Amino acid sequence: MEENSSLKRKRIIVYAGVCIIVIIALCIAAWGSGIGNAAWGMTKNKEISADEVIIPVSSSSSITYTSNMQKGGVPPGIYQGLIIKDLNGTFDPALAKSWDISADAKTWTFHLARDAIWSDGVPFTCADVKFTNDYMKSNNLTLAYVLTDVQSIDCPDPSTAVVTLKTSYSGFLDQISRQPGITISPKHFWESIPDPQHYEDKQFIGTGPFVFDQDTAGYVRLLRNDAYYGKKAQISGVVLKVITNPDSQVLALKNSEIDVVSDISPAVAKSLKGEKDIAMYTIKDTGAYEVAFNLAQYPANITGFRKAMSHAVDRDTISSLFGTGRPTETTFLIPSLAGRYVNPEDVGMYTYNLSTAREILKSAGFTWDGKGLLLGPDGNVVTLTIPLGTKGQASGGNQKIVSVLKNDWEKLGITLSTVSYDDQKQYKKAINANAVFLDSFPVTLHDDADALVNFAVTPTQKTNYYNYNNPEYNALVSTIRNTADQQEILKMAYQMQDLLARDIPTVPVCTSDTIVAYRSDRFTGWDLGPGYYSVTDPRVLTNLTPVK
Amino acid sequence: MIEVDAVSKYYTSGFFSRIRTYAVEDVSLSINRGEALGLVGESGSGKSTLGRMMLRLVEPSAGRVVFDGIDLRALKTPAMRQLRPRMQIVFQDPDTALDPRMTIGESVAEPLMVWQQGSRHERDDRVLELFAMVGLQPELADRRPFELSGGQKQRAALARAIVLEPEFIVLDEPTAALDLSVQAQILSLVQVLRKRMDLTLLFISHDLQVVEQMSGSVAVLHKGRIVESGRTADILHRPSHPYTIQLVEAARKSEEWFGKQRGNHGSGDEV
Amino acid sequence: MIDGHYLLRRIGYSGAAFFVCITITFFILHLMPGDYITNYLLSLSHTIPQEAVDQFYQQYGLDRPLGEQYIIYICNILQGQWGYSYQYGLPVFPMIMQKLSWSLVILLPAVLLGIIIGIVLGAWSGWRSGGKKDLALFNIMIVFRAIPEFWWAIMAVWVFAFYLQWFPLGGFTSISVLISGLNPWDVLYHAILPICLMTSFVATGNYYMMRNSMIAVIGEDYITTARAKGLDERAVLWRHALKNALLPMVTMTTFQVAGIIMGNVFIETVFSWPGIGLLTTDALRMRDLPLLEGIFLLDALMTIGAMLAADILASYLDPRIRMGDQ
Repeated sequence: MEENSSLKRKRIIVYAGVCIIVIIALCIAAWGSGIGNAAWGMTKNKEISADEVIIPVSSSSSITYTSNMQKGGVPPGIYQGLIIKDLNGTFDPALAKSWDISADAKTWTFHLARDAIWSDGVPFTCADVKFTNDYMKSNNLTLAYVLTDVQSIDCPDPSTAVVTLKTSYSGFLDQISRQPGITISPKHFWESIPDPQHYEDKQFIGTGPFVFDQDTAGYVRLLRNDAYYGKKAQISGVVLKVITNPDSQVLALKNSEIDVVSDISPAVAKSLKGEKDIAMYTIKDTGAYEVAFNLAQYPANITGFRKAMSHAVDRDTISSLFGTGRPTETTFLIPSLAGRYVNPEDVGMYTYNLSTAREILKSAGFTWDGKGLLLGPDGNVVTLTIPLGTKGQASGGNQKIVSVLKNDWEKLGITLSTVSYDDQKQYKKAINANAVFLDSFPVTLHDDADALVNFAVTPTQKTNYYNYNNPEYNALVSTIRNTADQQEILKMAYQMQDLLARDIPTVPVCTSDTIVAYRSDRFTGWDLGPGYYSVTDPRVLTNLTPVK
Repeated sequence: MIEVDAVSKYYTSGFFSRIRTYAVEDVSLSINRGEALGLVGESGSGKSTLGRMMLRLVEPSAGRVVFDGIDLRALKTPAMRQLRPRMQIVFQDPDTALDPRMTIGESVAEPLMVWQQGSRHERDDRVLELFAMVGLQPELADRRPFELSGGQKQRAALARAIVLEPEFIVLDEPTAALDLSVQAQILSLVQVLRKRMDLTLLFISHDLQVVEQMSGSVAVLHKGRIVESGRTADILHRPSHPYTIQLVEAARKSEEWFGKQRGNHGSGDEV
Repeated sequence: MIDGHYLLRRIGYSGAAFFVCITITFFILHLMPGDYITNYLLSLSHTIPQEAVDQFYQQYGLDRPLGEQYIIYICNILQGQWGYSYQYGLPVFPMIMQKLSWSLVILLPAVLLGIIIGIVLGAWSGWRSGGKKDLALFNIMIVFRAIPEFWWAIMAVWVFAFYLQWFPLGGFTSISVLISGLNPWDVLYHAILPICLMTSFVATGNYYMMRNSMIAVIGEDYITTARAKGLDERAVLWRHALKNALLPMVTMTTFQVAGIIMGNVFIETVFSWPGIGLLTTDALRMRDLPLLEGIFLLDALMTIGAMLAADILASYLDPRIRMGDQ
């Protein structure tokens, strides 16, 4: 009956073990989060200056990207390319003040900004442009593919860069300015770094209107670049604050913790209406949807079928379901963005009229059985399956389109079903195996003649989504590539649109808008019109002015 | 010594119309000091509940329980607690009757500690004394229940029950979970203890033979009610209630077989 | 009561289990449909340049046969090389540890508090089982548990952070961090609401287990015995019921503590807390294989370690369990 001392000892061991584990965990927490090194004093919180704009970002990963060597996702306004794409299909100068193009569209000469300097004080020269191309290619950086067409870059003098392409390419400017685009990196910084893929850049040396200040605990702070060679910002800085939950972003805006929230839903916009000091604007046509055909699959291989179906898409109803945006009236190009590239003769050809559709189907050899089901020219009942990918899924766009199509196409005797795919590869496979699919994309892809290459078959693009392969169209695409003259390009773009209107590989449905809400008591100058779909676009940021 | 007067135990169920399910219904019986009463009935007949109500380990729904002239149900909890040392219980399943985390010695000594009887040393001596009384080796005191055989555990449970020298013990089928040979040993141990300590017993069992051996009188419980009671010999030989007749006949049928079994297992001591 | 040889063997088994774990993880991750580079390129533009995909595959050795990739992976792991994240280009291990540390700031206090509160409430409720107070508490817990965590988190933000403005809306520091540096009190202030929420989630789970365990224990004869011995109710609870009811909890709580490493996606999303849960879902979405492998590797280590710890702990606390008794 000895008192159980061994049990007591055990108990002490267990308690001690638990305590040790907890202490270790605490140490990890303190060390990793940096709290351990912080001062524990109750210092009074100093506030940042009132004319720094605070913008929410939804993911911390977008601002902790390591290698600025073209991995994307770096803070806005720090890095610049040679040019920035403009709204009207033209290009704003950035590091290149002007440019010349050889008649064969093979040699491009850029005249660089003479007063541009890197944020560490080193002047920007052509050597940086050349270095960017060479370094990306020699280190096999993923985004080097954007520069595949570049043969070499030469520097006749520090403020001139001559780009020689492997083959003629009139859309080269588009190539280097559109997403992902290419920004110029500082030679003096990167040339000593042998492995940029695994290098964590913490300095972010750029030439843009903003310079990197710090990345701390869920905030990234950029300050105005007072040495900027172009239009200087009027705000003293930009703070990006990580707010992962969209609802919290809206609450933070209401609490005046942040100055702007982009991409809010029409419902949220409605609830914000009338809030004091909150204003909203709509960026038109930031997304687009289409009902596309796979010309390699029956019945979409029958031109009459495609033509008939182009009259069986109720674009007004679909667009009203979206709450923002409007039906598109043209083939593929979006008028508000592509402007003069839109062929006026092809506007307004997809009138919604089910009896017209019925007539065209009849003349294409389709019939109906006793129950009203559509029979194909082969005598079998026509059934369609639409594969749905992840694109357009988040906004519910796909569902809205499908619900309207189902209703209308059933009236034509077509049974429609859908299958959803989470994986891109499987989705692509499914697109290839079905006659009809839906697509959605940012409208930057619908804004100029170069965007029309999506429908072509070229040596670099062996197939397209639509399996559309029209020799006449392909020829136009390769000619346009080699043409530098803008008038010629415009003429050919019109011809291409005529072909698309005749062959109908796709039926454009509608565009959607982006709604932005901002604190009107803090900054003005957000709304720059269509095309500026991002509130972190450096051109938007440099346009802001503090209210007080 | 102990008297039960019209006690009932029922459980209510149902939300709107409260339905009463009786475990024990309107039972009255009494046991005189030093006597043993057998309580017979099939499982589910309410005999365990009745046994526990006599110790107020289960609160009766109605009726009176009088122990040595004291109405137990009128007592407040502290007063009831003061009475506890005078009444004890031994359970059917020795596996769950002892706290698995305590050594046998601790379990037996705990009541002494609670009632602050003697110094630690004296308590240890008392535990060893009890171990000797119930036939347990002293070294088992440091073992835990799972290290003991069923019979040893039941001896330990008996030791635990008599440690405070109670006057009344409820034995709730103390041998039902044991081997036949061990059963006999435990039963005879109970007999010895009863005589030595002048115990009043309520012996609950479903085995008529065991009851015959242990107690002079018997009560037969069927569906919560006492259907027959009286001297054991009378009831076993001249049962009057149909249920009792059934019970007695069932016992007769297996008697020969049991007899043989008991004969074969003479006196193997289990350790 | 542990036999030394048995302990060694047990550790050996743990090692084998770990090996099996990372093997399965490797193959599941690599056979998962979709790949990082396609996702990445599609996020940039509409087309996927095949040469960029091929180059990426070659750079990361993804063009080799899966078996060969597996051998290389195992060799690297054994040398302590966890690889580089596709997305961030950073070494995986420090990345995980950094995110984990932030998760721990919330989860460590929350899990410990949650376990303690859950056990205390569960024990009380089980002890009083059938009573009105127990039923009230039990039903409150059911309602709490029936509504998803995400909803509670959103509601908490609405009520406490937005309307009452007692707490910040999210994030882990005030914006003043940019001027005056990290202030632990400020971090604590930001952590209180998520910690409270997380604590209540952990507490409800433990409440159920403890309540059930308690109900099972008080039905045992030794509790009745203890009462018959004349112990007062408090002594019965503390000396007999609680200790026995706690035994099954040891294993469960050890696993909960190990589960900290997976973080909590809901809390992290709602409160913009940069923890490991968000890192994991993000890596999964982007198919960032090295990062995922690192996370699951650490998870396997923790879980297997916790199993070992739970076994040893249980054998210390529960005399009925004897390790090595075959």
